[in-house]
Amino acid sequence: MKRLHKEEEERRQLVEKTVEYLTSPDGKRALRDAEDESKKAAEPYRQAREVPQERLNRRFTI
Amino acid sequence: MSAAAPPIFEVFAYDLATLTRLAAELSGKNTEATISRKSHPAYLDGYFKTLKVQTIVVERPYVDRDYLEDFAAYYVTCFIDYERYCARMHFFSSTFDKSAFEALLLGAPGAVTAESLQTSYCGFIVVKPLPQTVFGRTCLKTYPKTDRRDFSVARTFHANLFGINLKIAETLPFQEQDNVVAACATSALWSVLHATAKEFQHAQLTPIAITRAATEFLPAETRMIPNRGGLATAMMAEAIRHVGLEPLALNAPTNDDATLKGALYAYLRARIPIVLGVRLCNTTTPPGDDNIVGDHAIAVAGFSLSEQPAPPVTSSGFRHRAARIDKIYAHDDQVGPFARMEFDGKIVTVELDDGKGQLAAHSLSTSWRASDGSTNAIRAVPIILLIPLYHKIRIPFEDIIETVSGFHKFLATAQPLNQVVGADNLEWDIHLTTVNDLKLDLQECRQLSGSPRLKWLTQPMPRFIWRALARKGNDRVFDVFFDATDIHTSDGVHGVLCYDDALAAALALIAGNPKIEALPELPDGARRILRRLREMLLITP
Repeated sequence: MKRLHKEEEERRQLVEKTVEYLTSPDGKRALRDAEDESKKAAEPYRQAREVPQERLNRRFTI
Repeated sequence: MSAAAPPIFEVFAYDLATLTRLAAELSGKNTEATISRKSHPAYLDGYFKTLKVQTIVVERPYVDRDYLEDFAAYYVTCFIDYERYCARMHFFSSTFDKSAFEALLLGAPGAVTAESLQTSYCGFIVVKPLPQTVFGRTCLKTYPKTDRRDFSVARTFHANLFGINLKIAETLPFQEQDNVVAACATSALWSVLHATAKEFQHAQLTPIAITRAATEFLPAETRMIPNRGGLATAMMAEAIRHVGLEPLALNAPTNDDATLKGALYAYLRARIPIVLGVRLCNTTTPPGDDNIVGDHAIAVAGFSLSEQPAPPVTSSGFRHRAARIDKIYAHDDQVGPFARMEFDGKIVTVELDDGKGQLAAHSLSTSWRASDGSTNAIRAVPIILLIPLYHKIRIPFEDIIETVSGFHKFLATAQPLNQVVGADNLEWDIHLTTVNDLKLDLQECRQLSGSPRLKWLTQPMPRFIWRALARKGNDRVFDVFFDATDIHTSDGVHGVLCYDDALAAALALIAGNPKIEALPELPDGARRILRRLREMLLITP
């Protein structure tokens, strides 16, 4: 029972500290480019969908 | 006096010379010299050595549906009398002779049994009665499976040899183009559609049916059979539509192997083979028109993963397991089945005919031989991927990458939580899957037990799912499931499975905190995954 209580307390502190950091100026700064970074990770796959017409019409002949 | 009919079956000890001689004899239209000049016998010999093939059983005549359809549509109307029957060579890794095989057929006791044949069966090759292009439908076992090799697209095929049921547990049919009703693209598509016919229950098209479906509307101005001009991606896409699937064409980036590997991995793991269009170039000749061998289509049937960890692709250390692909295995109709092509990092200078002139492009190794017989000289520069998809697979891969990389960024930033998560060491395995394959995997997972296991195995899920599984070493940390059949404006996160209960509870508490909910800097992907996790754990803000 004591162990369970200790684990819960540790988790509560972990959550509190994480929330505190993420909402701090440092945390916000670190997250600020997150949206751009994830868009950048997906961008090559988006670009791959744009197949030039020349490539769509190129014959594979050998 | 007429010549005696050839024996219905024969048994031979395997070697390259016998393979070559049999291919020539059984075709009835070629000399051994003709067959020896082809690249297939040498390639197959190397492959058979890996499979430890010892014995060939020849079966003739053999009625092959694919050839018969081609024969009925084309060859029968030729003035020359082409045969309607084929022959078939079966390959075994055990050693036996004709008398032992005959004893089995006679029902006499002997060393060879139906079971021993099944155990040692490596597959078959149909020999077509045509000049030069003799290698018809070929079903051979894949390379032995290891943790590194993945042949998810392979399926079980059966052969019946005089009443003996023989199973090839994992293969994908291969055949070489005949240059008449089929070009390389037809052969590649034929292999790919064999797998999707089983996966998505559509008709299996023969080579002539594929060429006809591909060219029904394009080109309008000229004939396409005999097919010596090959097929374009747009034509192959028509053939895919013909069987009720949706073609997804992707441009292969010139200098970005990571994107190519990501796309290959995502769909091959879903048991969907891919047509890969490449430009072949000869590195022994100076860059210019002379170094271009031509444009070629192959069917990608598997891949191998390096043991090295995947490199990070973003500044927050987002690692994608697909980046570990170091080889692909492709049905190359001019080489053979499961031909290895390596991502060895070699750059070639080549003109890709896209108005950019000579370019330095990433390339893969091939098993092609140059005209002087040298190996390693012909390189493949990827141009295009064509993926046949079931119409209900709607959410694009890039949406998943964006969401998951956003979540990863959140994990990497969230201190001190990240000391528990260890985001730097996470490797994301992102691929399409089905509800059945996913539940099979979860059912076999030792990290999932008790009520979460019961919940995940019994809950209704969509048929097609994008799966993002984060591992740390061999341990699973997160599994995020996206409904691939959903509309893209929806949240799309079907479920989040956190393999560590304490971590799940901590994440859900963070997600439920009103300050985090209101944080404008939180990436959208992270927000959606966290929201779903919180909903699933019934924790309300």
